[in-house]
Amino acid sequence: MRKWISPALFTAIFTATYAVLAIKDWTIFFYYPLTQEVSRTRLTVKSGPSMHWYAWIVTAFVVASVLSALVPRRWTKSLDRPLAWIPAVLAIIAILVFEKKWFV
Amino acid sequence: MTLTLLMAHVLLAVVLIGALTHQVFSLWKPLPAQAHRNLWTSFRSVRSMAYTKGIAVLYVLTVIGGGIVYPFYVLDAKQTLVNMGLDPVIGVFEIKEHFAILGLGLLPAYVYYWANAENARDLLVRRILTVILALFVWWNFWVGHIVTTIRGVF
Repeated sequence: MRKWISPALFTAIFTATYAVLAIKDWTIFFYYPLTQEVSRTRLTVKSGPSMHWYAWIVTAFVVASVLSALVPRRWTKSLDRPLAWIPAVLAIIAILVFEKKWFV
Repeated sequence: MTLTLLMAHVLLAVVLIGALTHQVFSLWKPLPAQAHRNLWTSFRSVRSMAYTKGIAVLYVLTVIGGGIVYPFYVLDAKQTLVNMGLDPVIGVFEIKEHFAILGLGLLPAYVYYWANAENARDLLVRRILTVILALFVWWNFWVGHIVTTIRGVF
């Protein structure tokens, strides 16, 4: 498996995708814990607060799996070491900057 | 039921913290060959490579546990925090949920670079990935603890 898919590339794409989705608040589905409903569209206030976290996880996993499987391993082999952690660190910084709204 | 799940989640996190902290110290402060044995040197002298798969499995289980109890936080504890105007507490919990998933994304690279632990050229990557995971787990543990305590007090 590791011969074809780069774990470092998967990590890079997963963390970057998750950060973008969380910051932009893009979601492919909404989960409503109060009514335990999953919906592709926003429901009314009666359904309670919506959660997007599960959708971000699923989306990041699918995007990272597909893209890291499509990119030939030899293309990224020399970049594996920086790919393993630099995009993740950038994602952490982006998330922290985005979440500073709670502290001002 | 929620409390049982929360306790299981916390207990898994405690084991994870222990394993990752051992691994970080054994990686950054490896034991010299002729080191005098005491609590501190024993703490650093674990076979850190042997922890890797266990840490990965524990991490996934802890995140699954967190994912199951998360809706209860949204419906109950978060509302309390909103009503009290405790935005910074909500903020640190938001960061916790992001860190948990970013850590999940790091696991494939973490396992891969630990599987090749004899390769000295990967040492820096291994160190960075392990430290990031440890920081995530420590942060998430304390934030979860603080939020649970605030919810319990108020």
